Amino acid sequence: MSIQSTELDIFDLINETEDASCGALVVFGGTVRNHHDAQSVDRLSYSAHEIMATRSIQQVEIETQEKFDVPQCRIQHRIGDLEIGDLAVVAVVRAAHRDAAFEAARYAIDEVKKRAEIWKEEHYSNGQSRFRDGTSLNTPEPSN
Amino acid sequence: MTEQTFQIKLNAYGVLQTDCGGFEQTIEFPPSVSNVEQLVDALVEKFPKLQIHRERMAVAVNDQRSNTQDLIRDGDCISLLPPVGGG
Repeated sequence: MSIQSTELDIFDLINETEDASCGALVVFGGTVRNHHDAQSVDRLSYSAHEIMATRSIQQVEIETQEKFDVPQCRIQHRIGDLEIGDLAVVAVVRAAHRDAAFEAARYAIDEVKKRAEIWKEEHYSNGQSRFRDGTSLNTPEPSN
Repeated sequence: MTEQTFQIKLNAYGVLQTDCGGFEQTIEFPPSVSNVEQLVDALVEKFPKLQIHRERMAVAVNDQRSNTQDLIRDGDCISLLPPVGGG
């Protein structure tokens, strides 16, 4: 599952990606922090177009494996209301060697942030909230 | 003769739900609205606050990213997708 509303468990993906051909394991976890742009943040709400976001994340996983020649790449993103410190996203990469694993993990999380149909709303300590701006999805040009 | 209208289901994600008056609704359009570009024009007319998002907003038809010239049909599910930013 790429998108889920329940708590993420890093060890699920570590176990799922076990691979005897790999000597490097990189795990990236994105957690909810308590501030943004000098504003105090109480919690975050993530929402997604679940069908499209799942497809985008799976595409990033495949693309990462091919681009960096890494046998294992898995990414999970949580949606719903998250508290400070909660895990919002996890990317796990296993590769034969560490250079590829580090580079691939960086690529995977960057691409998910840019491409997966997921939105983040910050709830501030002063009672206000705001959707964070992000990356515009590239709409294909008209075909004539 | 009465003009035959058609209906779409509109899902507005992220910040766009506020500007469209909610996440999900069914909207009726005249047959002169036949492609994605015309649909967005009509939606901006109905929800003027959408205008400021128009350039950076993507549109999906039945869960597939669309082209401005893609045709809209009765019963289609239209998703309005503002700039994304998970993580």
